Amino acid sequence: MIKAKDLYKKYYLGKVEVPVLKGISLEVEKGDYVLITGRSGAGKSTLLYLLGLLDSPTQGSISIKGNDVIAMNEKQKSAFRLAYLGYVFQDYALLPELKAWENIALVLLMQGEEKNKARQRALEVLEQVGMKEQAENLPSQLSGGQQQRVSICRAIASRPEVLFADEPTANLDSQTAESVMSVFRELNQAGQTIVMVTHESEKVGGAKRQIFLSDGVIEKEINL
Amino acid sequence: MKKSLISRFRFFCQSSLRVGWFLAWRQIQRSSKGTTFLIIFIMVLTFLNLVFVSGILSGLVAGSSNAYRSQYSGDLILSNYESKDFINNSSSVIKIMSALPEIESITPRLLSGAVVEANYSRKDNFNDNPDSLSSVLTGIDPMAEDEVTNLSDLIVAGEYLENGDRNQVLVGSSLLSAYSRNTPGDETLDNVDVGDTIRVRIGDIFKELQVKGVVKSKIGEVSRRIYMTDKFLRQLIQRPSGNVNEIAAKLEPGSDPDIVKEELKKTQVCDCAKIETWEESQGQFFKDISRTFSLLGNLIGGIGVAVASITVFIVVFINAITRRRYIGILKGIGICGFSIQISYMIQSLFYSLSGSIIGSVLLFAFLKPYIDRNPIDFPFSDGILVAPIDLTIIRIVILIAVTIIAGYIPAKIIVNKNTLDSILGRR
Repeated sequence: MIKAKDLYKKYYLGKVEVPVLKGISLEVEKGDYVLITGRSGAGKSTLLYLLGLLDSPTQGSISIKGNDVIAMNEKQKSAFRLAYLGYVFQDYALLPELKAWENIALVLLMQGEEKNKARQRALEVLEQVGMKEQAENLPSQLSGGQQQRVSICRAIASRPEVLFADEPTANLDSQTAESVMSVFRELNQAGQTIVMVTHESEKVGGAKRQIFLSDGVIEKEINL
Repeated sequence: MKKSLISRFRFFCQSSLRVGWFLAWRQIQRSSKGTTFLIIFIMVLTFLNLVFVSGILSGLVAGSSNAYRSQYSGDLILSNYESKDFINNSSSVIKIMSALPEIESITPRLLSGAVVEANYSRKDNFNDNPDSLSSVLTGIDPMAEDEVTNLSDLIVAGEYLENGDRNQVLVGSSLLSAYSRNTPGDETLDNVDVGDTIRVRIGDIFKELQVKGVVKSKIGEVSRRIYMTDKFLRQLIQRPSGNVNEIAAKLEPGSDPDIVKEELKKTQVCDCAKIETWEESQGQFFKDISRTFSLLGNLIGGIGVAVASITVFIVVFINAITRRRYIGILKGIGICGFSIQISYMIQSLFYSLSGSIIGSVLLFAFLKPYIDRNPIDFPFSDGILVAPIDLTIIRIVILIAVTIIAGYIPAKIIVNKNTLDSILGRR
């Protein structure tokens, strides 16, 4: 599904070169649930952004579903993200003026779905995470956990090939975090490929593999 | 291949429009009502500035021009050539004009220059300067004149002339200090009102006349004349021939003065008199001032449009920059930048369209009817509001186009920023 080879990423702080990733290679198979962990500054979020086509590596190659995504321009990457990838952000990132179902339906509308069908699908995924009752609520009327569930719904509504999650439980209390992780677990059990970044290496939450990053390189990789 | 590209482009446009509309409408619905009201209020003011100010400036001239037509020249006016003392064969000309089906009514006028004097009986010393001025004595058929120019409606004191009146005159308000604005440089007669006696001198002829009424108009050709019956003036100046100096004609509704003028030119009338439409007789000055005021109105309107576009630019820019992260996330989840730009363009369209609609309702339902009923009292005209529908629509289109561009530019600036930088809030 995803093949990344010799990924390097450098940032510049003024004239100072800051290497973040130093030659990372990894593969993610269809149906995989990969947890990328490591200390703060290890480069895990940067790796996620590269794999999720939100950023470009300084060096290296990435192939998703056999497509050389590095060669794509911004518009092609955007279309690719819309068609094949889903994202869950740390702070939910829901549009405040859109109701829960509208936040979810947006991606479907962009894919060309009719409004009624998009709404129907949004309600379907909300029901999947037990939130159909809150479909008409604005994000400000939802708790953090509920907002993250809506965010997950938005990411999976278009049935993406890969779901990327960047510290999805970082802003949640442990009980809520556990319930959100259970959603990911269920999604993976249903066949969803997931790549998740978390700094809480002990909370594996149903992941199949765990990759430890340290100082821009893969320190170790274990099957769970 | 070509077909596939076209269908993909159509699909892209449809999806972008759908998402743009979806985002825009919800932002409008759920944004601060106060902010929305304020932006629309600014748009209403801009619209009024664009249409109302230029309309009033044009209306200043149009009001004067309309009054000139309705109170003096009619739709067509014939006058004697400068080299002649009167219109040759006036009676034939009148007959020809009366026979034309497009002409509803005509009023022939006999003119004679005169010196008018007042307060001469109260003069203590023979060497005192006389209270006098030069004016034009105008002999009219009161009925015919009223049919063309509604002169009787302009009487502000006393009564209108009747056919048999002798020794009685109507005096233009600009000749009397009690009725004029007393603009410096204007000659007026003091202490003259209805019932008083004035004295006119035409060459060696002196005649005392009683003021029967006062004619008030902002058209100098009307307000600086003294009116009496045609018969009486002919006797006074001893011109029995029946020739006249002016013939004003009112056309049937829908008739074109230029066409009627051309018809008259085909007859011998043009050998006897100078034929002018009401516009031509006003001279180049009116056209120049009209053009200048129109230009001035457009300039002020243009400044209004610039202010509106800057307002929309700032509003959209602040909105987009404070939502930069959300815009980044939208792009991140695959929403194309064009959809986001469309959403801001639709919001700009909403603001400008709302402002224009409310402004139009205010303009055409309240302001224009009100000003038509109560013209603005300017010194040289009764100002009306000129707001033709076609010109108003053009201005609405300009306002909308400019505000859409003003909404598009800041949206494009923010949307074009790096997606990840926007998501992470990096500069």
